[in-house]
Amino acid sequence: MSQAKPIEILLVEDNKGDIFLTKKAFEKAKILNNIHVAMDGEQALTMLKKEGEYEDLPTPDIVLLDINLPKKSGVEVLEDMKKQERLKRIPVVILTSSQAERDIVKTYDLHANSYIVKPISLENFKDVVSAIEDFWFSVVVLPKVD
Amino acid sequence: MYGLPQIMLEKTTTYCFLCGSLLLALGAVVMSGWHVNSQTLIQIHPTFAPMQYNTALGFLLSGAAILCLIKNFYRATQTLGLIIGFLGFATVLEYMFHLDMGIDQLFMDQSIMTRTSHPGRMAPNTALCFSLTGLFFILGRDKNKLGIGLSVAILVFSTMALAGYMLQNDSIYGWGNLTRMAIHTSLGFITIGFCLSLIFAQRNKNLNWQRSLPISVAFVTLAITIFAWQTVRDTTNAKNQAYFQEITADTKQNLQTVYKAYEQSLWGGLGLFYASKSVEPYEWGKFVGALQIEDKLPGINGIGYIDYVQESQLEQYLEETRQDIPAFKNKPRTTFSDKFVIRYIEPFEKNIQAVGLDIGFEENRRAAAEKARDTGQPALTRKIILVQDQEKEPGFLLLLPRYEDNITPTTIKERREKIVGWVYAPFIGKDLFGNLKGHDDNKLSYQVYDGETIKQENLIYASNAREEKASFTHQDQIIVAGQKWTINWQNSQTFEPPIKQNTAYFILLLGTLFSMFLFYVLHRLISTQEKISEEVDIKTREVKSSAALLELVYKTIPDLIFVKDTQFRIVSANKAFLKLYPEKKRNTIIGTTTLEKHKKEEAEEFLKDDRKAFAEGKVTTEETITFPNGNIRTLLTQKIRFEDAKGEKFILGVANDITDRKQSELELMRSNSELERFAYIASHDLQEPLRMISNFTDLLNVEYAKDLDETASQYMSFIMDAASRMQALIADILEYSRLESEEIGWTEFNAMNSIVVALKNLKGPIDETEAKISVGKMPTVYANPIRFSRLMQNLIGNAIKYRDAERTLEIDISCEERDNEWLFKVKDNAIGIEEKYLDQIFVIFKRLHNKDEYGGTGIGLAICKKIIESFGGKLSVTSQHGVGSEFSFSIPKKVIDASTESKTNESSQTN
Repeated sequence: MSQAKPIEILLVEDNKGDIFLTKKAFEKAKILNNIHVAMDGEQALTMLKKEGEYEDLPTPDIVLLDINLPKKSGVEVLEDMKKQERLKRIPVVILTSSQAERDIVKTYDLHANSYIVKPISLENFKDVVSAIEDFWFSVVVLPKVD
Repeated sequence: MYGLPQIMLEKTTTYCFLCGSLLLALGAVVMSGWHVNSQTLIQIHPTFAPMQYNTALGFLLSGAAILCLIKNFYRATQTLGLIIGFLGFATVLEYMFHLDMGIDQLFMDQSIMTRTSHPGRMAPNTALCFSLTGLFFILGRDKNKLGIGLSVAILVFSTMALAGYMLQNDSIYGWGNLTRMAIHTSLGFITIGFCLSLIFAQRNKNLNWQRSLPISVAFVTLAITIFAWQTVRDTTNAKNQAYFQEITADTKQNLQTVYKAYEQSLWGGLGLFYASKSVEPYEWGKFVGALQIEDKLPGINGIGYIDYVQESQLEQYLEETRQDIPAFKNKPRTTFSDKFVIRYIEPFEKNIQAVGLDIGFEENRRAAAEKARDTGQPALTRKIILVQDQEKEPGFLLLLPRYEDNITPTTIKERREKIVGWVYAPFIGKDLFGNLKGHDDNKLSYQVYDGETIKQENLIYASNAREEKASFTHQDQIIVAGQKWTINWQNSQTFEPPIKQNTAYFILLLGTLFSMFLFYVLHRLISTQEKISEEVDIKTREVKSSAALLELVYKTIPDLIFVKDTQFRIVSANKAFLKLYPEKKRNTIIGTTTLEKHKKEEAEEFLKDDRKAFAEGKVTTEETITFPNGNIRTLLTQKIRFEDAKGEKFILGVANDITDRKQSELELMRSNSELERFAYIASHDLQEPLRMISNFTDLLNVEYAKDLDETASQYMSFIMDAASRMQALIADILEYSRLESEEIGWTEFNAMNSIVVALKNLKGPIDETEAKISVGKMPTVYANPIRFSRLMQNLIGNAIKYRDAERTLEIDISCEERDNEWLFKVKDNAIGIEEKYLDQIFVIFKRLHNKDEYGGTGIGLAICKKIIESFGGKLSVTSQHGVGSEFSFSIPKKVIDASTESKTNESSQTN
């Protein structure tokens, strides 16, 4: 199935370095994937709702969401998503450098699917991306989206 | 006495002056009464007891002493008191020991003997009263409890005596058979008693009157006891005397009966003479023999006949008589012109010496014969000694006259002319009375005296010798043949009074004991009461001072204090409360509800709380109130319901102005949240760029390694190193700041479990260094297990970090129990710390070594210290450079009961 259609990933991240590193990590993935990037919370929601220029954007199979974002925070994005019938089943993986307990609790309360702290070293970062890929795209069965 | 009217006390001097003068006058009048012999002055009424001269003297002196006392002449008062006391007390002693000291008639010979036992001696109660009066004066100015007892006793005795006169019961004013107190004596003593009480009261104004109660009551009880004792004793005596008299009647009765029989036998003899012209001696013998006098009339010595013979006819008479009785002689020859010659007497043998006796030789016999002749009646001689009695016992003759013509002539003259002779009987007292048998002879003895008085020479008969002192005596007179005899009866040893005196003595003993008991009990009671009232006084003073203190607190305390009644009106408020209102309105607060002075919603809130406080007893609220002076204050108010002494309900409001505290709390919260914000930034915003540096340097290293020369690689490693240290620093700062701001969960856990977690976390380094770690017995503690684990990890980690490469690292973890805490110790044999640095090691970021030598941020021990402080314990260290260190920290015990503790100890053992 993966051969037929690439996995659509929405990466919500304002740090260009991280965007670069994430994309780089996914390049080497075994599964075909398309990474769409939103640089702030508002853009992420616009993209998810396919508004304006993103009318033709495919609904993502997974959202990698940072918390500290310009305009709207990751928490607000998550909250909004979970309110919308069309978006609430999309798995959201929080990928952030915050280790604050309250961020962890808050996002899980809002039904985030997992919370991952960005590792310091590059090697570890690669391992994390690889783990996401394995877990979410090979192990887990995801709901069908339009 | 208690509570003498104040006015009386003020006028004491006046009253006492009057009393003193009155007593002087009384003494003087009665004394002059004795001198002029006026019975009215001395006795008032002839049946009343007289006031003795000594008594009058006592009153005169007492009056003078009172006057001296009120004029404060103490020496004179005491001297007079001594004389009065001596007069009274000496008399008391006289009564007690039956003495006569010669003071009774020292000044005056007594002429009036009405109701006096000892001439001139004052009554015992009078003497007692004078003793007490004297003692009072001797005490003089001394304040003494005795004083009131004395005056009360005097009042009691004198009032009793007066009451005795009123009730006409002389056993009240006269004790026993002793001299009685005179009526004006009792009045005099009432005056003295009143006066002394008044003086005592005036001089002891500050004395607690209750103190005199025991002695007063004791005296009254004692007086009643003495009265009761006297009365019972008198009654008993009277009854016993009556009984005694009753048994004496027997003797008298017997005597009279026997005498009648004797007299009758003489009448019989006379009848014999009247029956035949002449009686021959043998005929007389037959007659007397027929009487069987030895059996029937044992007291009689014989019955004989006496002839009356004129001197001139004597010789003729003797001749005639000798015809019948050949040896008849007249003896002794008297010079009297008439002779009374005993012609015959039977039994003859027994009385042979009497035959021929002229009884006219002796006056008593002659007088009796003449008396019989003159009266025509039987006559008895006075006491004589019979000539025929060998033992010379007292005896007497009973004579019955015989006249011519056998009839008793009517006139004395005819009787003297016609007297012929006498039938007579001699008696010996001993034989007569000795044969009288009464019922109660063993109970009494008696003496019979010839005549009206008891004189030894007149003694006819004594059953026993007369005792001078006998418990019971009785005298009576009996007329035997016209002769008066006096009989004196006395009780014998075997006489037992039917009513015992025990009752009287029992009353005296019991009454005295009761008085003493009453005195003791009252004394105890009053001293206890005094003690209590003293305590109450102290308490009252304490209460007063504490009330003053309370008042001061009320005034000065910054808290607002107010009291509201059930109508929600403020009935009291302190200064701090009133200050919240505009100055002009402050005096209108008390008595109003003040509700109209506040905003409507605030006022409603007050009322709600007030009602709740009244209903539930206590309400605590935090309220923000806008006061009329514009102040907006936050108050923590407690309203507590209470009842006053009358049971009326109030609420006490105590409001603590917490406006400033609230402000501080808000600021603290703000600063705490800022700190939290900082921590957040540290955890996210600082780490983000750091991660970029680290990641991209890494990427460079991986992807461009072949393009970089050795120098570039070295630079790169510096960057990597710095980034990772920075990362560690941030992590530690974050942790450190969390220790302050984060709320932690407290729980009970076994320390061993937390240590095991720490050791697991350190597994790598421990294995690497082959450190030997020993853990002793660990308790269950109350703290946060995650932090405790972190603490242990840091300390063990520290020891590993600073281990001495030369030797195997040994870490010893132990715990000992203290009173209120557990003391943990982590001891190592690492390099140790130089002493001068010991106090620096807990300072954040402080490092003792170069970063290259020993890595680390310098926060580890600061975190340890913070953790322990968050548990409420203390961290300390001892160390010896080059030998090792010992970190010790305490954790307070949770307050738990003993049973739980012992359980935890057991469980820690199993762990």
